[in-house]
This record gives sequence, structure tokens and C-alpha cells, in this order.
Amino acid sequence: MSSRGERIPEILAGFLTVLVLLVLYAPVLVSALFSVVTIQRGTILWETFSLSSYATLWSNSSVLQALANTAIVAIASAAAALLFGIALAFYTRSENAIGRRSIEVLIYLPFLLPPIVTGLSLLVTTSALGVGRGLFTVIIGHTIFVLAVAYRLVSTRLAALPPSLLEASADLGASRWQTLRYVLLPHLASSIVTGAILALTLSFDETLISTFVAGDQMTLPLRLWAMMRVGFTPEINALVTLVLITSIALALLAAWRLKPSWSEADSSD
Amino acid sequence: MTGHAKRWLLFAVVAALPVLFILLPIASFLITSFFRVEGGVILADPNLSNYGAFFGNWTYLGTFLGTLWLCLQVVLLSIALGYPVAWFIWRRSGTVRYALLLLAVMPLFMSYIVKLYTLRAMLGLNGLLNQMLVGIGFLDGPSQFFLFNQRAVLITMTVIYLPFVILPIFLSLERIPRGLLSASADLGAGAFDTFRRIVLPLSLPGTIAGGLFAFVLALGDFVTPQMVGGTTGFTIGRVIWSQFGLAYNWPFGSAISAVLLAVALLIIGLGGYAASRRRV
Amino acid sequence: MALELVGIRKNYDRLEVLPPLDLSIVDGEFLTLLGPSGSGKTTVLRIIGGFARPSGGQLMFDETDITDLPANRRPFNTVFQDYALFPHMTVRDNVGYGPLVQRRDPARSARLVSETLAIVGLAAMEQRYPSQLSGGQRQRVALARAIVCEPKVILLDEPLAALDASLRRQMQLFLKDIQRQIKTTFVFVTHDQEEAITMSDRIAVMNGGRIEQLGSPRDLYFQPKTKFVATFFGDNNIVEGVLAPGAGEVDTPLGRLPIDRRGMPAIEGRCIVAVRPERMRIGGENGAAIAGQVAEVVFSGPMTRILVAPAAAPELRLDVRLSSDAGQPPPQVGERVTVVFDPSDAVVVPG
Repeated sequence: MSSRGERIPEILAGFLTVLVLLVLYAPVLVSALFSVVTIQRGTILWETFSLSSYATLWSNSSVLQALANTAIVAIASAAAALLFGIALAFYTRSENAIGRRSIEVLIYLPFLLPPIVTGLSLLVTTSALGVGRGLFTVIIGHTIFVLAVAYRLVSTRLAALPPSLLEASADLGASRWQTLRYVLLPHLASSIVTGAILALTLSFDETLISTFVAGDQMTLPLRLWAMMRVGFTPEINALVTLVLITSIALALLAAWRLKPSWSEADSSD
Repeated sequence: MTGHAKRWLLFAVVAALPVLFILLPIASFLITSFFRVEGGVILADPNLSNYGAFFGNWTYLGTFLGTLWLCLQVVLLSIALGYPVAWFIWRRSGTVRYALLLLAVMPLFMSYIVKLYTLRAMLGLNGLLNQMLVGIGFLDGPSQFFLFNQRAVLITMTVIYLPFVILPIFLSLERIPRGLLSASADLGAGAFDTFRRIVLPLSLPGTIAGGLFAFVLALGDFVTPQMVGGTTGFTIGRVIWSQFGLAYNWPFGSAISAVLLAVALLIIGLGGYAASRRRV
Repeated sequence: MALELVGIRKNYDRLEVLPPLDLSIVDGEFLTLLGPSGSGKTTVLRIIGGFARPSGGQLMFDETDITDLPANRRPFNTVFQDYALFPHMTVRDNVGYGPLVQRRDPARSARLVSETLAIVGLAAMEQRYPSQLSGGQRQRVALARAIVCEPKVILLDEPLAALDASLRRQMQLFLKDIQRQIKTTFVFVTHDQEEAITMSDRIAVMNGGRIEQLGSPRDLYFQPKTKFVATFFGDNNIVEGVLAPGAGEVDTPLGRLPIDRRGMPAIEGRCIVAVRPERMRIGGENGAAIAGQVAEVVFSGPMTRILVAPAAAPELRLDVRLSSDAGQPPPQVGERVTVVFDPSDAVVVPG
């Protein structure tokens, strides 16, 4: 029951919430609007409505190339991060594993530190080792960045698995591989899928690490950044809108998958 | 082979990946920070001249301190805005609550560069903000007040990093058992007392965590100041970036980054300590 | 009359969880609301505490209507089921929270907190945090926190449910002792009938949102008025039957059983006959006799439990308790016996 003393702060906070959400979403709405109409002196010229900027985008080969690169990087780094994340989680969750704590610190480090540090340290290392920079180095950068998320999701899920389940499986005569195949992987499936979606989303938007290690390759954010230096065009707005819609779709997908654990708290009272 | 040796071997195999791809790069840039550049070539000649140049030159040190101050402002502003929002969402129930939370958190996943682009467009001379302020008669004509200065960096960073603050605060509010609020009311506390003595202290760990995220992210951000900061919005991230770009002095850039890394680790450590000291 | 519930009811949307209910709680008594989960006992407690708003009816305290008074302004304090101790405060700060937010005189409060901690035996632990305490100690902090403000009524929501059996018995006596010391009204909610019998002055047995019966533990045990009370409250031998108007015998599957109608409400038609296991004997004269065969003998410490299959209805079991040190050995399984009880020990309630 809310008491009288909370009504006024609640109204103020509600007002602030609406304001903050408007500011957070104004970018999406404004760029979507700019991509289809022309605005002059504060008035929207509805008669200029056109989807042509989306069409020109489709024939812009440098944008398409950047999009392809981004897709390659996102899929490759998500897959690599999940593979390593699962392996590392199996190790740190196993009995009497040595150095569990220090391995976890290392895994979380690139996620906690400013991306600029991760980016330039990879740049310095690849240069010292004579490795050419390109999509491959971007994939490495993104992998160690999203590894923290993949590892976290999988290891939390693994910790929730009662050890007796594995013992029961062994007791029933299952081999190690059968236990992995029929008990562990199905248990981890949901966290793997959620981890994949989050990793794809993060990689899709990653800019700061990429700029250090991309060499002369372009991912979508880097291409956008380059285009922004030139100026505002409906074409950029169209691309921006598409990027935002993709991000939102991915985020909604992740949120939908995470919902059960969040809404549990709602059932109280 | 003994069981003990086997365990160490397994550890070595498993640890190889994070060591190779995470520890080694950090170590190599730390080592580079002790080298120097001569005639466009990096010389492996260990010395402290880069650190001397950084701490001995007010241009760099001042920019660094200015950046720390800017990050602190971003943190304070984000918490001042984010806490009431998180609190309001927490007080809702059912679908409204989930929808609001989703709306507040989703910008986390929206392209960083796109947000920068649109915010720059909105803050500019012909941007939405100026048009609105002129439209309601607050300003006589569009103003350069909001773009290409330190203020623009502060506003933009706050907008971009706000969701990073709202989410942990909400999650820590969410962890407060409802029973504690009933107990507080039962013992005679009014809404304000319950907030001040129960809700606020128990949500402090989340608030600290959110502030930490915002601080560390703002600290290393070099694209935001470059896009909206103009000539006065200079931050240490921009200095580092320029050392790896036009200035081509990687050792010096590495040295500044090492200082940045030390500060970031210190802040994370302090925040973690402060959060864990509250018995929750 | 201290606290009075007049026609209090509660609906959640269309669902009625509490039909209109009347209950008078006497000043200084230990009243227990006893019932299975879903019986509405916690809802009643939450309404008294001010955590749930009744859909109708009135809550009167000392002839004042307090139905709309918020929880923080009621002179009642609650001991919550999960204790709800503030994790970021020491034991002392938890107990001192009430006086603090009620803006009581600090010096007097400090003394009061110390005294209360001494009463519950936690004076040595006042600087600890709840996470450093055992379950029983947390329980005592919760109690101290509730009594320190000297409330008029203390509400206890299954406070012993989380404790293990031996600690629970210890805490029952402790609670009762505290109540005698501070002479405050206790309203206690539990689903454990044994706990209710041990501690209460009066018990309200609740079922489906209704109070089935209100009375002393003795009344409820020996004079149940409904089938629910007879079955819920302690072990009982229950058999269905039909009672002819004015007759002194009930027709049951076990045959015609004599009963004593004196002091019994006028019942006729379908009914239930209930006899406590310890009021039944094996063999002997005088009273109702049922022939049967011993099906099982269970030794349980001071008492030995004998389950008898009646000859007339072998699928039923009669539960007979004999003192284990009665001098003679208990009957053997398979032995033919006669179970005897005094008609005045048979309780008849409507079926």
C-alpha cells in the first residue's frame, strides 16, 4: 500500500522518468523522421516524404561491404566467445580447479576496463608480433570483449545445476560424453542462446576497440563514423535508422529471453 | 603423472587463452610505455621519460585532471537523474514495470556511434534543442551553447551512460525484500524514514556499481569528445588517441593509458570495497 | 474489549478470500489463529497490522475505528515469518529502529533497547549483524524489535516455522514466558495445532476464511463443534453415522454406538462420531465395545499405538494409545481384541 507521503515524490519521479525516456529515445525518433522527410526551419515538409534514401543505401557498395564485415565479425566473435566461455566455465566450476579466481578476473577485465585500453593493448601486441590488422584482429578484440558476458551467463547457469544430477546420470550408467550430451548441454541451452544474442548485439555496436585494430577494414559503426565526418545526409539517417532497428530487435529478443528471471520478483505480495 | 601435476597441467592449458589474449596485450602495452620513439621508429630502450613528460607537463596533467572532473560530473548527473527513474520503475508493478525497465535499458544496446550522431544533430545550431528553445521563446535565436564545448561532452556522455546507471540501481532496489518495507512501516516509520534508512542504504551497492560503470566508460571515451567537444572539450582519451594516430608516439600514448588504467583499477577497487562493506 | 474485527472481509478482484468475519480479542490474551494454508489466517493478521486493506467491515481498537489508519500509525508491532531484519543494521540498531523513527527520547530509548535486549538474552550480541546470527537468535531480535516500542498488540506471523523441532519447542515456552512478563496481547498465526495448544489462551480455528470454532485449547480438543475441528485438531478416531432424533445411539459401519447426549447440541441425521485415541481402551467392561483384530503395534516412547481393524468394517482402523509402562505387554498383531470407550467421551458433530 502506498502511503500519502510517497505520492508527491512519485509524481515528480514519474515526470522525470518520462523526460529521461524522451531524451533517450529522441535520437531514434528524430533520425527515423529525418530519413524519410526534409525539415526546413523547424517545419516538417511532409510532401518530401520518400523512402528513396533507403534505396540509395542499398546500392552503396561501401555500406554493404561494412555490413557484411560486421556480420562476419559478430557471428565469428559470438561463436568463439561462447566456445571459450563454455570451456572456461566447465573448468572454473569443476571441483578443485586451480586459479579459479585469477582466471575469472582475467575474463572480466576487458569488460570492466575502458575499451580504449583493450583496443590499444591489442594494437601494440599485434604490431609487435607482426600480425597484420584486419577483420581477424577485430574478431579477436570483440571475442575477448564479449567473452565476459558469455562466460558469466554460462557459469551462472552451470552453478545452478545440482551436482546430484551429474552423479545421478553417472549412477545410471552414462558415460562422460553421454552426460554432457543429455544432461549438461540441454541444461545450458537457454544460457547459450541468450549469450549468443547478447554477444551479437554487443559486437554489432562495438566501436572503440574496432577503431584500433581494424586496419583498413570497415565495420558498420566505423563506416558510419567516417560518413558522419562528412555531414548529415538522408542516406546516413536511413542507415542510422536501420542500425537502430536492428539493435532494438536484438535487444528485445535478449530481453524476452531474460524475462522469466526478472519477472519472478513481481510475484511477491 | 601425479594428480597434482595433472591439475597444474590442466590449469596451464585452460589459462593459456586468457593469458595470451588478455594478459599479454596489457603487459605488452605497459612495456611499450617505457620505450621511446625516434624518427618514427619505436626504440626498445627502457626509460621513464614518457611518464616524466606526462607528469611534468601541465598541458597533459591538467587535461587528465580535467577529464577526471568531467567523469565525476557525468557520474553525479547520471545518478541524480538515474536514481529517481530507477526508483519510479521499481515502485510500479506488473507489465508497466517491465515495459518501463525495458525502455530504460534498451538504449544500452543501441549503437553508440548512432547516438552520438543524433545527439550532435540535436544539440547543434539548427538542432532540435535550439529550435524548441527558440520556439517556446526561451532563446531569441539559436545558441552555440550546447555544442562543441565541454558542456556538450558532459550532456552527451550523461545521455549515453545513463542506462548503465539505471539498471544496477534498479536491480539493487529489486533485491530489497518487500518484508523489510512492511517491517519499517510496522515499527512506525513514515515513507521518508523508510526511504532514508532502509531503501537508500540497501540500494547503495547498486548505485556505486552504476556510478563505477559510468565513470570508467566516460574515462576512456575518446569518440564523444572528438565528435561533440570541439576545441575546448579536450579529454585524456583524445590525447591518447592522437598519440596512436597523427602524433605517432605509441610509447607516450601507452604511458598515458597506463596511468588511465591505474586510475580505473583504483576506482573499481575502491567502489568494490565500498559496496562490499555494506553487509548485503 | 481491546481489539474488535466487525464484519471484516477481503476480496481479491472477484475472489473472496475472507467472508465477513467477527472476532473480539481480549486485552492481554494470547490468541492463536490456527488453520491450514489458504484458510485466511495470515490475511486476518495482515489486515490487523495494516498491511492489507479490508474490502469491507471495521477494525475497532479501544472503541476507535482504525480501519483506515496506515500501518506506521497503529500501536501494533509484528514479528514477521522471515523476521525481516534490516541486514545493514546491527542487532542494537534493528531493535532501536522503532524508537528512532517514532522520534522518542534518545536517552530513554537507549535504556529501553538495552533492557529489551537483556530480556531476550541478546545483550552480548548487540553489535552483531543479522547475517552473523543463528535462526533462533534472529527470531529473538525480531521479537525484541517488536516489543521494544511497547505496542498494545503484538502480531506474530508463523514466527517459528523456519526453526527446527527442538528449537521450536524451546521458543514456544520462551514466547509464552515473554508474553507473561510484558502482559501484552499476542495474536499468533500458525498451522501447527500442537504449537497452538502449547501457547494459547484461546484459539480460533480457521477454515476457508471462516472461524470454525473459537475457544480454549481444552474446549477445542475435547469439545469440537465441527467435523473440521475434530479432524484438524489432534489425532481422532472418526466414523460417519446417522443419528435418529432423540436417540442415544448412532448407526455407524461399526454397529450401533451408544453416546451421551447431555451437553450436546441437538443434532440429527448424518453425523460424525469422534473419540480421542487415549480415551479408548483394550478390553474391559462398561461402555461401548467394538470387536476387532490388532493390525499393527507401534512403539513410540511413552505411548504405544495400537491399530485395530474392526470386525464389522475391516478396512477402517481404530487408533488406540496405551501407556507403554502399563505393566502388561501390549497385544500382539493378529490378536482378537475388544476396543472399549465411555459414551461420554464420544463427541458427535454434524456430518
